[in-house]
Amino acid sequence: MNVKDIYVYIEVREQTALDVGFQLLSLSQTLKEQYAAKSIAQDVVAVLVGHNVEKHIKTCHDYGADKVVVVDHEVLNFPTTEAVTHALTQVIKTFNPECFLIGATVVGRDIAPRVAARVATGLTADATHLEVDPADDSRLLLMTRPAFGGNLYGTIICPFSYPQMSSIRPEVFVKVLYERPVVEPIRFDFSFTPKHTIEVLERKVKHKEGGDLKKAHMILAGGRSMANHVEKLQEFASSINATFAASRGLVESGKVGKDIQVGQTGTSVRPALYIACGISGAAQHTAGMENAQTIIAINTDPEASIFQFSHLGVVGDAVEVLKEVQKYL
Amino acid sequence: MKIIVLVKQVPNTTEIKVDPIKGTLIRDGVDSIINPDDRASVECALMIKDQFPETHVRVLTMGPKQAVGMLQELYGMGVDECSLINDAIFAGADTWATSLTLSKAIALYEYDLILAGRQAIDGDTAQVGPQVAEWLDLPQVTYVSSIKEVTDKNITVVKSYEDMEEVCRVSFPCLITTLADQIKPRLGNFSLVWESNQREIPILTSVELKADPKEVGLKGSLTQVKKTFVKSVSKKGQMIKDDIELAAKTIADIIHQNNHA
Amino acid sequence: MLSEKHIKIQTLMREFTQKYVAPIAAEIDENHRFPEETVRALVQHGMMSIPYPKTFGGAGADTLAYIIAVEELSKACATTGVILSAHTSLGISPIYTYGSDALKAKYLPDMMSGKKLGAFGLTEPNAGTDAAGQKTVAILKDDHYELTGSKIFITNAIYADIYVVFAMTQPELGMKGITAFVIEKGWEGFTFGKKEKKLGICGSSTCELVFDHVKVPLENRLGKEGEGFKIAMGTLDGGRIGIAAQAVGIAKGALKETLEYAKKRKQFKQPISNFQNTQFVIADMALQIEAAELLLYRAAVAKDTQKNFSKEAAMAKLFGSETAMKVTTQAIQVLGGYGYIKDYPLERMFRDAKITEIYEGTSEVQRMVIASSVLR
Repeated sequence: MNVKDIYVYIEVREQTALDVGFQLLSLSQTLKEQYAAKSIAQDVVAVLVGHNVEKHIKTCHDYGADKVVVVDHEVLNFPTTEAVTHALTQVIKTFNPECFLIGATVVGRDIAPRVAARVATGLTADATHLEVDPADDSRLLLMTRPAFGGNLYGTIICPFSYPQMSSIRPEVFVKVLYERPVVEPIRFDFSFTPKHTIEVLERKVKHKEGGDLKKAHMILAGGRSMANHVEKLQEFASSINATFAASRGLVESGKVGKDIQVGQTGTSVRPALYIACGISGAAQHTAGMENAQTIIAINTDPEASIFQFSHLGVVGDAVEVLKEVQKYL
Repeated sequence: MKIIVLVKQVPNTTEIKVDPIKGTLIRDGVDSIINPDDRASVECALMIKDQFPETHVRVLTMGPKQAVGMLQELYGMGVDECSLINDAIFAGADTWATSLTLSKAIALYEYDLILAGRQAIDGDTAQVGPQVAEWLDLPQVTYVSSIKEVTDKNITVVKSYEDMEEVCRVSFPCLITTLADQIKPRLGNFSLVWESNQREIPILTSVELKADPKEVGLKGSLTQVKKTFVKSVSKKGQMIKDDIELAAKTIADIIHQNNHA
Repeated sequence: MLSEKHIKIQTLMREFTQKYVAPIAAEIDENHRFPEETVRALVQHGMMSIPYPKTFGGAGADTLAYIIAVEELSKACATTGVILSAHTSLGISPIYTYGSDALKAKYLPDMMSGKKLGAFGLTEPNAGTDAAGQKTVAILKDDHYELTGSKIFITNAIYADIYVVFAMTQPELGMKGITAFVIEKGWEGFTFGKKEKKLGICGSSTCELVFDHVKVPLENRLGKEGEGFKIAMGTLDGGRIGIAAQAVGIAKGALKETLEYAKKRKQFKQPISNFQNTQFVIADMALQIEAAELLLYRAAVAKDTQKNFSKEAAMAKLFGSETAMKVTTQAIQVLGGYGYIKDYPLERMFRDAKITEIYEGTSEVQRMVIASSVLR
């Protein structure tokens, strides 16, 4: 089978395109260069799925798309499992991509496995590193992902089937302004007869405890040992305009909600400053915050593994240390 | 109503540490636990059984023989029947082969509802549930944080998105994947726990599943693990010990820089 | 030492205690509040009739499993331990052991499921260890007994539904004139007297039962006339194992708190657990606890396998309760001022421990029982 190009699903929810799609377009440009170094020509193709999505075509090109396939239909206004699975499956069957990347959002993780099963290919979930196999005459994508709570990394290949599919979590890669020239999009003829009826009764914005973690400039996070000091940490965080976050341990203590959890199973963040208070530094947590520009860790245990990641490590009780910090602010 | 719950036994990944010299996982002394999202699925099934006592809850798990202990624990919570899918040829399966194998096991039984955890804490792929639904051609609702209502024809659930919640109703038969966050599993019942190690656990092998060795386990997998490695940790940054004043001044300074950046 | 089944029960009880009991232990002590929600949770999890067969709705486990349950509950909250122990060992046990088929069928299903809570009334203001000094009388009328008198220090009192009560039917016979009855809450003439304010187990309900010409149907007599003392002593043999479990639980809870503190608390730039003085105290605490636990488990097994286990039960209770007292005292000393204040649970454990040397036979009574068995 003749396979070609790197396809990226651009997820659009009620006319809003999610950033992760653009991040993956930029990543794909890097992969394209790696393929080019092996004299394999690939284009980066955005698959823009939604309703009234014209306005996103240019943005796709801005962040690295050479071409854009538009799948526009009113049933796609909000991405549902059945419709998007059908759309992506049809696109794959029509164009035979070499690689297919999907943002590991709730929607992406819902549909990607079904698409993979339907087109009979393998799927790597939540890859954090992608590169083209440097070995001669290999076209394989090396997809590296964490497992065992981020303690172990595995490099996955999909050698027998196409496309080579991977989902990638938001904020793992950054979007880069490639400003590729805008070309006439390929309008995909989408016909769809729904079979599974899922009746949506209500959609409402979730109550958020903290600010939006992903966009936070500064984050102050507490670990399990801070369970009895959550209020003090929150107070301190708001006094310095930082967003409050938590490790899985603190979330499990029941003192804070899951929506502020940073880590492998929570949110990945890359703030300018991350202050880890009483967080031991389990791999599952550090996987979600190690990309912060500056990391300060405060922990009573001088051997805590969080200090392996911190730019500044302070051995001491976080509550006491922060009380002291307050004096100098 | 007939419910099938898919459950996986996993190592407690929060306990796993890395041997910094050998660069391998230290798995000794790490407990095996019921995957938290799957436990939430079991709880959902039992809640439905509380409401409709004639409900039959069957648990299926694929894994090594030691998973019998986990299934006994589930008997203690009140599930009706457990089976262990176990065969040497099932080993090393990726999600494609795993979901296919599970689908073959599910096909042996009647069901209205299939429940599974969103993802397992050892692999974190979140792929098995949707792929089982695909094999069985069922509608799915993933990321379910709670169940709102169950009738004999359909189930209404709350699906959790990143920033939004959706209430949706889906007719049986269907597949739902659950999140552990808000579904608090019950503890065992005293006498069920007391009797749990006498409960029989049938084993389903490739014979019962009529599985073709080429399509299951490592051989049937479409992805391969090329290599695994333990992440090398970055070099230690500056450390301050026993001088809280210096620490406080330094932290305050960094905060100032960032607040004025 | 424990079988796989018993270890599973231990795990279950630890989870249960963690989830339902520990979080409110300090609060119910502070407010002298009976933890009704915990009782509901015990009922829901099938824990109200652990050592009884399934015939009347019991859990079908054994005495050791029951003892493990009381022990685990008491590690976090001795009040919860005694609520379960009084219901199981003093409420259900005499009816299960000595009741007629009709009486069993009438009362056991609801008591075993936990729908109805049990209590036991033997002690009177002037009849403690000297049970023969009973002033409560039951006079036989045509088709019923008429019960008059009062019982004090009754555990579970106002929250119970079914009471096993002892009264003189033939005062002139002394011990041999005592008869046992099953009384229901709400019967005419049955009221509650003074609610006691106690040193410890403050969440448990301890109250006086007052009987004023209460009509008791003949079929509610437990055993024969004059068998009351035998029934009381037989029941208390079993009850003592429950109290021994409560005592060992308290001691274990105190040790756990002490260990956590000693490893964390720093003096002279090191954790106090580095000091030999602390180590020796902790070694003694652990030694006493494990010895007490061995006696406790032996008594539990003896109850299920021996005809007479009075000595084993008395030894378990005596050693267990004295261990609880000693260990909680030592624990407070390790924590110093922190042990004395209510921020830590040790002062509560210390107060709770004392009752185990008193109720269901004082330490002196246990010595009498042991001596009479050994000297036989």
